[in-house]
Amino acid sequence: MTDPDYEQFFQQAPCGYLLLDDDGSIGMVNDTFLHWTGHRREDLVGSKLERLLPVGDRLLFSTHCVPQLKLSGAVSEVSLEVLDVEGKRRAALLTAVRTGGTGGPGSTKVIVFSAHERRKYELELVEARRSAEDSEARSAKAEAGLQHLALHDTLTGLRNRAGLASTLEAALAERGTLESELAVLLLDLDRFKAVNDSLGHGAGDELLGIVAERLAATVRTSSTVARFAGDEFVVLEHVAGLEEAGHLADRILDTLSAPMVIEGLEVVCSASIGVALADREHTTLDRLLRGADIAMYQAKADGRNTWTAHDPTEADPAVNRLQLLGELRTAISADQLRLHYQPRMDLATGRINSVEALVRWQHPTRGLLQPVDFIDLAEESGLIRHLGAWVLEEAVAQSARWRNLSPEQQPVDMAVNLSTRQLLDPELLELVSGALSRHAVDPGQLTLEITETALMENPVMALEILTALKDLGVGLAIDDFGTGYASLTYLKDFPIDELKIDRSFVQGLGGDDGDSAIVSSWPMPSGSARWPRAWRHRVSSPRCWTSAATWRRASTTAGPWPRRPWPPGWAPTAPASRPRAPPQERTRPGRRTSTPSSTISGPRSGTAPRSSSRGRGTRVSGTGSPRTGDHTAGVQSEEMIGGPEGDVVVGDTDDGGSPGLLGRQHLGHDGAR
Amino acid sequence: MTVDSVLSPAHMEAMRRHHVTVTGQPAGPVLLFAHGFGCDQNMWQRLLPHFTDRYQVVLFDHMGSGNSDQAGYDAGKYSDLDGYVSDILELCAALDLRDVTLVAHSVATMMAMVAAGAEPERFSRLVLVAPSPSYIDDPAAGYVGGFTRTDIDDLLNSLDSNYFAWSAAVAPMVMGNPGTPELGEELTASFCRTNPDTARNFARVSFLSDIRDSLASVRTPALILQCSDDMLAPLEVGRYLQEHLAGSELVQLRASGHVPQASAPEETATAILGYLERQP
Repeated sequence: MTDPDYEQFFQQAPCGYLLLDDDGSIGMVNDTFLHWTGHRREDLVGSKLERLLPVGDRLLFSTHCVPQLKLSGAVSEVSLEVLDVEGKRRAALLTAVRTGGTGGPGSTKVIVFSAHERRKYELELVEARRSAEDSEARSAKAEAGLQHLALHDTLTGLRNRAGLASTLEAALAERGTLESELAVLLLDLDRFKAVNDSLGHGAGDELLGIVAERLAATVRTSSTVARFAGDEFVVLEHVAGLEEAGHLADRILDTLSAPMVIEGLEVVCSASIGVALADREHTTLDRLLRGADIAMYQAKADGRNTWTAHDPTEADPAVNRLQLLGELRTAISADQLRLHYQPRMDLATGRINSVEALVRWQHPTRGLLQPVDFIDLAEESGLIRHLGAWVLEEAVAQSARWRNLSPEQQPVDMAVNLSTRQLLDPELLELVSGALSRHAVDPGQLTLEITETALMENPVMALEILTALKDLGVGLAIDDFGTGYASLTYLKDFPIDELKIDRSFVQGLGGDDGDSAIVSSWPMPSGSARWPRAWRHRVSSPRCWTSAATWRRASTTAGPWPRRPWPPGWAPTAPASRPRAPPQERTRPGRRTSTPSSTISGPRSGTAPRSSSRGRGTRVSGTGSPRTGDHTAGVQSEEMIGGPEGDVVVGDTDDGGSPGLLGRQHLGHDGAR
Repeated sequence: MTVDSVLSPAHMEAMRRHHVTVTGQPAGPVLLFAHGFGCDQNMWQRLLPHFTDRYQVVLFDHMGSGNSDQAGYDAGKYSDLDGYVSDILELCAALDLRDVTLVAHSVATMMAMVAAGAEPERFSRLVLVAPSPSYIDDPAAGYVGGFTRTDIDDLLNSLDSNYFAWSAAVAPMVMGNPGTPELGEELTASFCRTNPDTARNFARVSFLSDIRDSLASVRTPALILQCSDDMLAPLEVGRYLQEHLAGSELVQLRASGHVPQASAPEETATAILGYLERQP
């Protein structure tokens, strides 16, 4: 092998070679580079390499490559473009090494590779990467939009139920780290349905929008306002305590009370607010909202346009109800049911001629419970059949015991209430006849009381059953007559012995309205031949005593003496005299406040209350038929309270939640009993 | 300035974020070096030996460059010059630097002038190496910056063509060469390493900023070091600055190119030292 030709190796190397001096001027350049770029050697030598670069590369070369070369001595695979003789860009990779000391003159050796494909791909890859990032950013944005939609209410723009849940959960999670307490205010607009019904849904939506705006403007910016459902809103705020939460609730009520104009009409809006604070008792979202819900209903019951704070120590009505149902199942077999007897006296003779059997539950821990506390449960669960059967059996048995106790006296008639379910029970006839024969009681001594509503539920079947009962010889009475839609004309087809007038008609007795006339007129159909015991049939009102003169006009038999029902031990043994006072039934203290599940009064508000489907155990008493709700029980309390204190004394059933037609203010004592 | 044995948390944080290096005489006057686009604090390497015997030298990396805290990089904040300016002011406050001589290169000269206008009491002097108040020509005002908007787009394209090489974990290595002083692979690999994403933002800020309106508010004495044949800072730019910066002094270096501190460290250091010693 001959000596290698270094000159040829340099000039014809498979890459461009350049030698630069310290200020970047080109000292040597090989043929390959010249061929590749088309430049002439004499044009390049002495000029600066940067001059061969487009401006962008020149900037990068000056700011990035030159200092790196000077300081570290090398740059490697720099991607750039070289301008050829025609000014066209040729993609290249540049690697350079600087030699020479820091003090003395140095030189820089440069190699340049054509890298057209590589640069192309590199730029394409960057472009693809950028668009992937953009698309990622776009989908993140779209996702954020969807997320917003999922968590917000489209009508008001407020957070919706799901949005509230996520906010509340986060707030609950950080609750431990904060000194403040978390307050939940559940706000339900009063009578919103009336707006929707009368002005239309558009107006309703407008009202909701205004309420949302006012709420958002009233609370702190750190608070959360959410539309929970329909006309329910929730405000979430950190407060120092209940007092501050109360102030907030007051502010909200104030704000809402300002009139708003909707579709040209001025509308005044109010709300009922339930306040619950997150404390140890309310560790979960559900419990907190539930507490606020209970309190909100209490605010409704308290007359609306107010707020109530939830007392965490108070039992949940729904839980209470379930527990009670379980206990009621065992109450019958565990011998916890009692019958008390409401005496009725003939005003003409002063003699007690009948008693009405009324059921009580001697609860092992809750004390003596009134029918209102458990009859609805019994009705709803079907337990009423067993309970009713027990009442019938026990009442008939008691009747027999009294008879055996004083055989010389005229037997006292026994009245027993029947519920709708009982009336339509195919075994009723057998149950009644069985009880009578077991205790050898004369059927004529037993009166079964049926509500008008129960009668009208299935009149054909009711007629059949009542006729069969009549054939047994028992007496039949219509209870609370006037609350349903049965006309006297229709009723005359039934073998009824007695009509008990509902108090809604008799509360005006003694007054100057038409009620007295109505009541006075009722005995008139007595002449009908269809009423078998025509002259024995009675019209009575169990809750009404008027002056004797008025009453006599209206009745042949007085209603019960204004006394509480008796337990069996206080049997009417002295019929000629006024009965001894029975012991007072002990009512549980604070009962009014501890049973928020009591009926909501419909009549006063004129608004249909909520259905019980919300699970809070609320009993509803409709406006049209104030007694409907609890009257279907058929064994309801008819207890009297107090005594005559004036010409007109209107008793109220001791059912805790008054349907409200009979104002307690008439009674001369408050509702604290 | 004395060195406290206990550093404040803000001090520690600033040190970490900007990879601050402090050398030289702890009791000496403070020289704060701010690097420009394309490299990092290593850019000053060859210049430092001329100062460490008498001055306290403080070096740092701008956010997004060198060994700064990449996780703390906020693209929004660093989309304009103010983000960098506030960093410099915060750094001075955190390190409790006073009577600072701020030595800045290239785009950092813009930051230096704005910072001195904002907090004149902090800075005693400015040394502006290859400065420019705006790289873009403004024909209407008769201003020659050297570049057009299109040129800057071309630069961004150049950056993109190096994107993957720069984002690779290890920079391409040069084959060993017997005539080359050994720098050590590690240093060579990490030297002026640039994150392609932050570099792109920094390039935009560097070459599209225009601080000509702020020059009048700068009262701090300044030395302008103008290189010969600097494509980024033509001679007109140096003259423009001297006219518009009150109390400024222009020194024309023989060194060519844009990075005299690397290519001609002795000449650059002599010019700076001469200026510092002339000034009270």
